[in-house]
Order: sequence, then structure tokens, then C-alpha cells
Amino acid sequence: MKLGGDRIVYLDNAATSWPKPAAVGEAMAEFLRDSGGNPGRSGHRLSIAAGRIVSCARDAVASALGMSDPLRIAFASNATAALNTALYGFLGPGDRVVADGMAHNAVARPLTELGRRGVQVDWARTDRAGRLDLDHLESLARSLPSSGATKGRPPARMIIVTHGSNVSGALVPLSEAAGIAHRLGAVLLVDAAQTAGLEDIGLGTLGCAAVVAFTGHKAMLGPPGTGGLAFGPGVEVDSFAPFVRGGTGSSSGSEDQPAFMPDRFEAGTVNGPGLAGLLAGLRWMEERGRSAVRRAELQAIGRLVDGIRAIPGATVHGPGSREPRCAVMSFTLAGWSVSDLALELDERYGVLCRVGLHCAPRAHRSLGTFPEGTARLAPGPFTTTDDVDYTLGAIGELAVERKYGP
Amino acid sequence: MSAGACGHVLFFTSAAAFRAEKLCCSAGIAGARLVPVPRDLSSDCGVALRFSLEPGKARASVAAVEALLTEASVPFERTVAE
Ligand SMILES: Cc1ncc(COP(=O)(O)O)c(C=O)c1O
Repeated sequence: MKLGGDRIVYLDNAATSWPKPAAVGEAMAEFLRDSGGNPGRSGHRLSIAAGRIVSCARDAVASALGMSDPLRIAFASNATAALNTALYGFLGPGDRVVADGMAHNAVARPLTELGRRGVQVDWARTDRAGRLDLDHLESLARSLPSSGATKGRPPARMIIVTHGSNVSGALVPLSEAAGIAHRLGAVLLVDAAQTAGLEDIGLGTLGCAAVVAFTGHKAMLGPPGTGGLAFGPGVEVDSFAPFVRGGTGSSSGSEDQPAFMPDRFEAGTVNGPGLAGLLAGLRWMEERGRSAVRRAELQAIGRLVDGIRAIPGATVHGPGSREPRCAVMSFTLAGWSVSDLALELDERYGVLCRVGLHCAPRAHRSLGTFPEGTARLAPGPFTTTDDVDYTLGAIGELAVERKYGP
Repeated sequence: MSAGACGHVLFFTSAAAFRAEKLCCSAGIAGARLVPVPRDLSSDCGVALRFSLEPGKARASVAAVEALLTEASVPFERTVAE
């Protein structure tokens, strides 16, 4: 296979998916052209047309997350905003929370600030391949002395897991995390930024009080600026205070934020064109079949993991190709800094990836790759086997070249 | 009852109204569509669901819509039949 030329192989789908199905951009343009009213504000036809699209997007997200009541989904601008809503809305001084060692800064930074405000934060162990130690998570959440939790602490009110790590690709078994939350009567907050839209989440049947933060611009194939927070059937919405307050088009006579869903968490005009695009992305996925797309992506990631493992000097940081994982993998290459590697992959081969810490320093500490970071490859629904083999060929060539010793 | 008699469902949130419209349309509720909230019915949410009342069976028409929404857990403020 000839390497180089004008070819572009986009393997940065964990940052944002690209390309999007053509229907996504078309739906956004159509929304602005044909139904540009403010959804849920006025009663005229353009406002109603816009509201219908937002409503269909809500239905499509509910179906993608495996829940039956779309009204328990509040849209937000991304997973980060949704996670902040859940964390600041639920946790207060004296509360305990346990999170996992793969946490993204969208969880770790709010928790660091909440820690300053009197929330007690503990971190469950993950191993060198990024697999979460669920026993440690449970004993920490129960405040058992053996877990390292300080004596006399109350059990955790909230457990937070990164469903799919954006660094290692490790998947947390949600049913087991839900079992722990259920046994403790804690709320499970799932950061599903990497997985929502592709992996089975089954929010309606997790069997505990669960809340899922999702983003629209990754596996759901929508545009940036979309995402939200989905409340499972077992969770009391009232126990989450709104994070942003403002106009909703409802209860306008009151200066209090409405208590009902989704207006409780949807102050301000929603991103109508973005949600039109998200709806188109989810429909595309539905037509292809979510599980068929997932199978293809897992095949691509498995081929990358196995192929890179076989390259002399390369180290894969994460679970093996047949372990529970999502379509994200990290590696380092002897003789190369990750930044030089990325530059070479881009300029010489057109292989686009992300290197560094991926907004998740804690995950890199767990994997032993802090502070240098890793090179991350994340195939998407448009990645072909040929793209994978081409990339493996490029990395193989660079492995032989080595930029610096030994 | 004159042709065109209709009932309305009022909602707390337009998100529920849009969901109700879709459910009623796919369930074949006659004349189901969203309209601006009629001036004489006060509601905070900008849209209401209008539906046709079957002549002589207004109450049954209303009950059918209410049952459908309750079944699907779509919260509404109240129903009004002309
Ligand atoms: C695991 C994880 N959590 C949260 C986020 C934040 O998502 P967003 O940038 O859409 O808010 C990301 C991606 O950036 C992620 O990979």
C-alpha cells in the first residue's frame, strides 16, 4: 500500500466525530431556513415547527439511551454543562462522592471545586489498563476502613463513573456500577460522553437512581453545542437544583424556576439548529443499526490495538482488543515524543489523531502515562479496514525510523 | 353540536405539548394539532393541543385524550371542552 499523498484518515472521533452524515448539515440549514422560530416560546407556525423538531430530537435521544420518558431529558450545550448541572445541583457540604480514576476534567474540575466547598471526594482505583476496580469503588462508597476512606465518614450519596474512557477506551460495566449504587441507595452519575449513541446504556432498566450526561457531537453524530442530562426512572429530579435559571416559556408569571421537567434545567433558548442536526445524526445511526455500527467500530479498534501491539517499540495503554472497551485506544512509540509522532502522522501520512493528556490527567496518572500523555486513535462509523491498515503501516514505518534514541 | 367543536389540552411545558401532539396524531385522535393557547384559557405555556369533539360525545373524546396522555406519562395542566 502506498502511504502519503492527499489521503486523510480521521482517527479523532473521540474529540468529535467527523465527517458527519450529510443529512446533519442539511437538517441544520433546513431548520434555519424553514422553521427558524424559537421552540416553545410562541404559538405561531414557525415556533411550532421548531418545537416539533426539538421534541423529535428528545424522543430520539431517549431511544438511544434506552429510556421511555423523553421528558426526563434536559438538553444542554454539551456533556460538560450537563455534568456541572448534575454535580453542582446535587452535592453540598458534608456530602460524600466517589468517582473513578478515568475521570475527564469535566468531572474532575467541578469535583475539585466542590471539594473546596466541603464535599468529600474519593477516587476509586483503576489498574494500568484503565479497568475500574469495582470492589474498591464499593468499599470506598461504603466508607469501609479497608478502602482507605477516613473513619467515620458517611456512605457516598453519589457514585460517578466514566462509561467509556476517552483515554484508554476501557468500558465500565454499568449494570455492576448500578448494583453498587442500588445497594447503597446512592445516585449513579454516568459520564457517557464517549458512549452515548453507540453503546447500550439501558437507562430505563439500570435498577438504581441513575443520571446520564451525554454529548451530541461524538458518537451521536450531531454538531457541537448539543448534549444534555437524562434522568432515569428511579431518580428524584427534585433532588437536583437547577444550575442555570431563566426563561423557559412556561410559568412566566413566576420569578422562580419551574420545578417540572425539562424546563427545570432548560433555561434560555435551546440550540434548535444543533438539535435538528443531532436528530439527523441519530436517525442515520438508527437506519444503519446501532449495533452494526458498533460492531464495525469495535472491529476497527481491535485491529488497531492488535496491530500496534505487534509493532516493535509500541506500547498500548488500555484493555486488550477483546476486553470490554469502546472505540478509543492510546499508545506510545519508543523513539518518539507523542507530539512529534502526531505531527509526522498528520503531515506525512494524513492520519489525524490527538496526543497529550486528553483533558484527563487523572486517567493518565492511573495508566502511568502522566505527564507525557499518549497518542490516541478513535475510529468512527466512516473508518474503513483500509484506513486502519494504512495507519498501521504508517506507525510501522515511523517505529523503524525513530526520531531520538535509544 | 356544531361542526368544528373542539377541546383543548393545556400544559405546563411546551415539551409535553409537542410530545402529546405526536402521540395523539399517531393514535388517530381527530383534529389533533398544536395551536397558540386560546386567549380565554389562561396557560403559561405558549401552545395548547386542540382536538375535535365527536358530536354528542364530547366527554368521551376528552376522556380518550386524557387516557392516552396519562398512559404515556405526559403531564398536562387540564383539559377544556368548549
Ligand atoms: C469522558 C468525557 N467526558 C466529558 C467530555 C466532555 O464532552 P464535551 O466536550 O462535549 O462537553 C468528554 C469529551 O471531551 C469526554 O471524553
